[in-house]
Amino acid sequence: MFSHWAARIARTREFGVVVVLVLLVLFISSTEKGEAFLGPISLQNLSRQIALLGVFAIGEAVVIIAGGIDLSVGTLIGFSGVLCTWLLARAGWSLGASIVAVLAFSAGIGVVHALLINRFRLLPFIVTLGSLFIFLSVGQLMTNNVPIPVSPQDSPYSEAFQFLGNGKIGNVPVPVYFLLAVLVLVSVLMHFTVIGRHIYALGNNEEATRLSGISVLRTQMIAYGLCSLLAGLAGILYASYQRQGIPGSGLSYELKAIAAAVVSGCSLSGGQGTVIGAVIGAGLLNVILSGISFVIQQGASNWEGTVVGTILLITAVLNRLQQQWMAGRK
Amino acid sequence: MNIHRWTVLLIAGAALWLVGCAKRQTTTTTTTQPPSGEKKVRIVLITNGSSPFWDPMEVGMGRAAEELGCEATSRRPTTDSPALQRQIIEEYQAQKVDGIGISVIESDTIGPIIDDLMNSGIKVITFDSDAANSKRIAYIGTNNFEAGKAAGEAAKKLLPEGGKVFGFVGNQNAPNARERIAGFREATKGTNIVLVDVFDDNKDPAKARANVENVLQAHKDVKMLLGLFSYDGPQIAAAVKEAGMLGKVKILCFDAEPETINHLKRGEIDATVVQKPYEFGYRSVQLLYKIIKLGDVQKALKEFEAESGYKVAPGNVIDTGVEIITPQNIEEYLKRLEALGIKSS
Repeated sequence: MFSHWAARIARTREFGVVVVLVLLVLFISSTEKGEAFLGPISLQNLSRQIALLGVFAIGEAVVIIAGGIDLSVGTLIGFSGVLCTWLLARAGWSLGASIVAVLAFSAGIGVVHALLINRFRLLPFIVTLGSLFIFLSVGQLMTNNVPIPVSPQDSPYSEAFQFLGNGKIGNVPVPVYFLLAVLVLVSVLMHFTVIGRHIYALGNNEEATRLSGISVLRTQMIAYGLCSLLAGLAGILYASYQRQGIPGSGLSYELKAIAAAVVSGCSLSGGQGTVIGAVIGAGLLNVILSGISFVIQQGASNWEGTVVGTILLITAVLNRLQQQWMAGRK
Repeated sequence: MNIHRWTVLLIAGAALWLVGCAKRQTTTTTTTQPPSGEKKVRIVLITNGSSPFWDPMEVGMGRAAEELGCEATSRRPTTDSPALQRQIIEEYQAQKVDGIGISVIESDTIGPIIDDLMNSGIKVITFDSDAANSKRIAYIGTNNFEAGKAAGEAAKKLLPEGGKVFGFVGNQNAPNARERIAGFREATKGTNIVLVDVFDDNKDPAKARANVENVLQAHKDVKMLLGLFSYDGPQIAAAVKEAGMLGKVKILCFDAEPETINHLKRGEIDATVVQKPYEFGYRSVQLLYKIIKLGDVQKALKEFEAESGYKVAPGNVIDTGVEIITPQNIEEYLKRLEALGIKSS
């Protein structure tokens, strides 16, 4: 029984990434500063970083599985953070109302993306590239490029807002709870509902999906809407974590999200991968990024790109070899 | 109404709104009547981007233009692209303005354009960021090496016993970052203060914060954190506060973003090094006006030196200096800015 389950796990697309992740953690913890890396505060910091990235990597994974791509998540994160802090500190809204407004706005953006892609037969790449530029600029216009702090003198909800990104419940950072909730809800949606099956079907073959009577537009609206909604949520969490809304923050985060989703098995041609894979990918990226400061004592920043790129490539090669080996055994 | 029409309406709405936004000009002009009926001197100052750092520069520029009775305009390129800056410079070359001040984005691209302007009779100085290898007449701005030294001096006061320091910056290879780091090392040479390493954040504030968190865990003996770019200070303060280490680790940073000012007021940031953008604007107009009116660079520089109190160093470099702001003098500093009509810098 156990060997049956072990074999099943070893056959999953995410297995290769998990192996690399475990080896990496073992390696970092065996170095001189390894004890500090596995210390409670370091683990809290690491889990918070993974949660912040994981929340919107899940959204990106859904869009990629649906056969699309969303390049706007990075600047939407920056913009939704600015919008949330603006509503709190400038417009005097309550925390609940601000969050609901930001999430509704973000989800609406995803629906607009789906409409443009579907009705005008535009490539997702170009539609979301347009949004990428717009959100960056609108955030700057709204703030004249000055960050919006949310101090107690700016909003009575300052404490509660700061708690979202910085707080802990039972020693676990709050963003981790958001990640777990999002992971469970989206996993159920993807694997146990008709909508999830439609999203996978759409990614596998859009024409066949259309011919079988499934509404492609509705499915795209759900996939892109969910992705933008989660980017909006991540934007709120990042703004809280940074303690202010910063125009231009989140820039190029879409690449991190795509890397997290793709490294553990989402295929850019759609129809393949899982959302938990995106979370594991987010874990791998952040373990590398944090680990570098513990392992390399001097000049860590210059090493970062080399280390991240090399490990991503190694993981991708391992994944491919594993898939070929699996195919050979069938 | 079907979905198609909704889409068209949405796009039309978005387009209208964007047009509305585009109308917000990033140009500020101050014009005053010349003393006599002669032709008004036209001066243009071109920044290296759209940052609010330039707000006080424009206030200073306007003040000088008013006092001298000339026309001064500022242009802020929307991005930090050298090609865009070149295009803007060439617009004013075509208009045959009398003098141009430039905060150079990239000296290899802009240097030859400056030479071209000088050859066509337009007087050029640089401010904030120099192109020393060009024919520009003079440079007015912060000497980042000296600013780094000032930070080093502040560090010596904050850490009389010395200790490990870690730095945080957008990109440690950027010229201003390199000079600030070198100045800091120079000032702390021979003391027990050691700048162990500097971490890049690629201008991503969340990354800056994560870098600080990692350093606080990986190096328990850290005594001071040094934020080299404007947004690094608030991120350092947030991470230190979260780790419950306020007071145990000193925080020294650059510039005065709104959140930096908040932390200074609460005593959570120990000191920040501020530049003088107001002076960049005021002195650039003053010097260009003198050069144009007198037609003699040496005479203009001499008069400028006497009137401004600044020293003209070899290479015609004019350092406007920096100030160290601490929780003790923050209120007085803000009052001074307010008197000039500036919110923050």
